[in-house]
Amino acid sequence: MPVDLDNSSTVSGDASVSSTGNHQNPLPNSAAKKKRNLPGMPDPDSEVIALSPKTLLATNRFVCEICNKGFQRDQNLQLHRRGHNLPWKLRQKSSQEVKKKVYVCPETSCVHHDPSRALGDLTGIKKHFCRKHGEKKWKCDKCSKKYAVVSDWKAHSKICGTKEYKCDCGTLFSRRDSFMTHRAFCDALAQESSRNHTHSKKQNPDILTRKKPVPDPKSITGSNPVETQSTKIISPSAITIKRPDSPKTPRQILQAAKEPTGLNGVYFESSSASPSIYASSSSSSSSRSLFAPSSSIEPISLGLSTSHGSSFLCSAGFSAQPAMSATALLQKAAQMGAASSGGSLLRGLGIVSSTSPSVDTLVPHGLALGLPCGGESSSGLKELMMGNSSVFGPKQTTLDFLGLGRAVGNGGGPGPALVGPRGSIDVAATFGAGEFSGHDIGRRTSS
Amino acid sequence: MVAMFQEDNGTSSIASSSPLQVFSTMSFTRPTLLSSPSSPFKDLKPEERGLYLIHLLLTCANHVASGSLQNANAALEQLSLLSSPDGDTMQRVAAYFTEALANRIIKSWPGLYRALNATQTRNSNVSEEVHVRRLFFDMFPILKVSYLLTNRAIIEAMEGEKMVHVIDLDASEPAQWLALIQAFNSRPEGPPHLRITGVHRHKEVLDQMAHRLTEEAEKLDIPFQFNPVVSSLESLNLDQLRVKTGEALAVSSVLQLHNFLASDDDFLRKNGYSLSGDSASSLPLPKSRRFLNAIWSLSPKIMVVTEQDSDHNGSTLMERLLESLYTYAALFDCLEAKVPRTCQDRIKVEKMFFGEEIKNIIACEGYERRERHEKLEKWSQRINLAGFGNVPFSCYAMLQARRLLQGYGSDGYMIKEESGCAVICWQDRALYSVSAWRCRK
Repeated sequence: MPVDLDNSSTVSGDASVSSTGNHQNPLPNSAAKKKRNLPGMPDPDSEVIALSPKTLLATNRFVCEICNKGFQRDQNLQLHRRGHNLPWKLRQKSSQEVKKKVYVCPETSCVHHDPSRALGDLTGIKKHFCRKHGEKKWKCDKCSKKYAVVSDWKAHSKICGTKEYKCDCGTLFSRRDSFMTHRAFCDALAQESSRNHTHSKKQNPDILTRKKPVPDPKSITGSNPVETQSTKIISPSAITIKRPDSPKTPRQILQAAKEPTGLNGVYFESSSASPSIYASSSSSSSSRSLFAPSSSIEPISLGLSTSHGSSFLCSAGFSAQPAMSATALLQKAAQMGAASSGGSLLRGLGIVSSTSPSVDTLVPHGLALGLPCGGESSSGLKELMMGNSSVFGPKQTTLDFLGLGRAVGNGGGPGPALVGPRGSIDVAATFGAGEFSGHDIGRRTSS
Repeated sequence: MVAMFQEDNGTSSIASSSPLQVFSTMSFTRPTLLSSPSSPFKDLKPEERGLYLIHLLLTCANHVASGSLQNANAALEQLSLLSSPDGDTMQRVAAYFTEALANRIIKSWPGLYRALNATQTRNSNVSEEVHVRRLFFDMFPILKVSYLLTNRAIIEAMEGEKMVHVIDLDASEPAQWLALIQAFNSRPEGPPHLRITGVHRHKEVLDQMAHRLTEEAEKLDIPFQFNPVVSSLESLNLDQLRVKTGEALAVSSVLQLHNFLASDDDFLRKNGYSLSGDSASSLPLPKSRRFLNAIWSLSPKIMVVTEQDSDHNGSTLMERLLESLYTYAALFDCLEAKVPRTCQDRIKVEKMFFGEEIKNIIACEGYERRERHEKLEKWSQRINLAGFGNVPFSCYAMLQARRLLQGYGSDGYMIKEESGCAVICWQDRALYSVSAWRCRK
C-alpha cells in the first residue's frame, strides 16, 4: 500500500498541481459563513484531495509532529499542540487562507472517483467509501440488515422494531409515507371493507388518510374492490410506460417504493392481468362462506342420525349453498369418517340393502378398507375408509377390522387384509412396486 | 386373512365382495332422491356427489391396490359416470384420478398399454408444452413468488460481485431472468457482468429464451451472455455448464430435483443403502445425492430450490392417493376461485399439467414415476447432507412475496416461513416451497 498519496489537482480538470491563483484574495473564511455548494457541483476552485484507502480509513489522520500522537480531528490536534508551548511562529496555522478541499473516492470504478463528482466533506467521503466499497461489519441484531458505517448502524437500530404503523393486512411500517401508499393499494383492506358492505366506512378513511391528492389510482380504489384489483394490474404497466419521464407522480412513488424488484412485480403482475379479471369478488366470497358451514356439519349430522338420509342434507341447507370446494368436501368426508353418524349420508344416497336386515353392518364393511397410516391430514379420510363401526353402526365405537363382532354375511372381507401398514404394504407391494406382472392379476381374476 | 382376500374374485358370494357390487344389485328405495333406478345419480346434489366421488375413489384405489379388478372396474364405471373434466372441482379432480387409476390397471398388461398408445406421437408438441407451462405461470402465483424469491436471494448474495454466473436447471420461462436483469441493472453499484446458462431438453425453448434475454440486456446496456445447454438434467455433464473460476455462481432449480428420486427406488433395492448414511466415497450414492454433490463441487454462492411441498412419494398406492387427493383438490380449488369453469385454458392446465402429474403419481412405479414430490423437511435434509447450509430469505423478500400473493386477488393463498424456507399454501395446505442454500465448507 503506497504511503499517503496526497496529490491534488483542481476540480476544473487542470493537470497542474494546486493552483495558487486564489492567494491574492484571502477571504475571511473563518469569519464568513461557509457556503454550502450545491450537491454534485463542487466549488471549481477547490483543491481536490485524493487519499489512499488506508489513509481514508485511518482513524488518526492528524499526527502531532512533535510527539507523533494521532488525532481524528484537526481541531483536536491543534488543541494538543498548544500544550507543547511552541514558539509563536510555528504555533500559528498557515496564514494562507485555507483552500476548500474536496475529496475523491480512491476506488477507481466508483462514480466519485472523478474529480467533478468529488465530495466536499472528509467525513462524507470516508462514510461513502465504507458504505459502498467496504465490508459490512455491523449487523442489526433485530433484523438482518448489515452496515459498514457505525453511525448508519446506530441510526437503524434505533428505529428497527419501533414500527409505528400497521395496516389491517398485517404489514408493519416505520414510515408514514410508505404506509399511506400501501394502504391505498392494499387489497386486504379493500376486501375487508367490501365485506362489511359499508362503502362509506371505506371511503372516508381513505380520503382522510390520503396525504397527496392523487387522481386516478386512489379514486378507483375507493369505489370497488374488483377494480382495485384491475387498477393494480393496470398501474404497473402504466408505470413501465411512464418510466422514461421522471415527474414525481404518486404512481412513480409507488414504483419507487417497490424498487428494484418492483420490476419483478411488473412482469409477474402484468402477466396475470387476464386471470385476475376472473377473480370476481362473488366467487371468492362464496368460497369464503363455504367454510363456515363445515363447522356446523357435525351438530347437524349428529342431530339427524336418526332421520333418513336425504333429508339430512336438505335440512343442512346445502341445497342452498353454492358448490363446495374440493378441499372442503375432503374435509367433510374426513370428518364424517371420524364422526359417528356419517353413515346417514350414504343412507341418504340410497345405499340401503333391501336384503339384509342389519343395514348398519352391511355398509361399514363396504367401507372397511383398512388403510396404512399416512399423513395426519388424511387420517380422517382413512377413518372413513376404515369403516369404523362407529361410522355406520352405532353399536360399536372401536375398530373391529376382523369383523368378528358382526357375523352377518359380509364377513371380515377387506378389513383384515389391509389392517395396519405391514399388511397393506405386502398387498400393495406385490401389485405396486417394481414391475407389474400381469400374471398376478391374471391369477386373481381367473376363476 | 391376507391371502384369503387376495384370492377373492368377483364371482364369489356377496359375503366377501365390496359394497359397490352390493350397491349395484340393490334396489333403490329413496324416491325423493332418485327419479328412476337406471339413473341413480341424476338427483344427487353437488355435495353428495362430491362425497360419493371421494368414497368411490378410495374404494377403487383400494381394489386396485389389492388386485380385485372386478370391483375396481365397477368403481371405475361409477366414477366415470359421476366425474367430468368440465364439472365442479371435485368432479374434475375425480376425473383425473379415475383416469390415472384406470391407467394403472392397464399398465399391469404392458403389451396392452403400449398397444393402446401405439398411435400416439412420442415427440410431444413442444409449443404445446411451453404453452401449458406458461398457463401455469399465469394462473398461479406460485412460479411468480418462486422467481421473486430466487431473484432476491441471488441479488442479495451477489452484492458487490462483478462477475455473476447463473445456472438455470430448467430454462423455460424468460420472465424470471428478465426480472433479474432489470433488478441487477438498478442496483446501486451498477450491473455486473452477467452470464446465464440455461439447461433444457428442447433447443427451441432455449433459442427463444436467448433471444428475449439478450434483447433486454442490450436495451439496458448490460454486459450479458446466454449459454444454452440442450440436455436433460439426468444426462447433464457439469463441464457443459462451463463454470469459470473467479465468477460468482448462482444455481436455480424450479421443480426439477424431484425427478432424480425416481432412480432411488432401484438404487435402494440394489444397494440397501440408507440415504442418511455417511458420505464415504467408497460407497455408491443415489443419483439425487450425486447430483447435489456435483452442484456443491461447483461452489455456488447461492442455490435456490423450488419444489412441491407434499408427500407424494409414499411407497403404497393408498398413501400416495390420499396425499395427492388433498394436494390436487387444493390446486383445483385455486383455479376454481380464479378462473371460470368454461375457460379452455383452465381445462388445459388441469389436464396437461396437473392431470399428467396425477397420472404419473398414481399409475406409474419405479423409474417411470418421476413426480416424486416430498415434504420440505426431507429436501432440507438431503440438501444439508450434500454440504449446503440454509440461507433464510430477507425480510424484504418475504414482504414482497406476501404482497404479490395478496395482490393476486384470491384470499386463499398464504406464504409462511419454515426454518428459513418459504412455503406457499392454499388455505393451510402446503403446496410449494422455496429455499435458498449456500455452500458450507
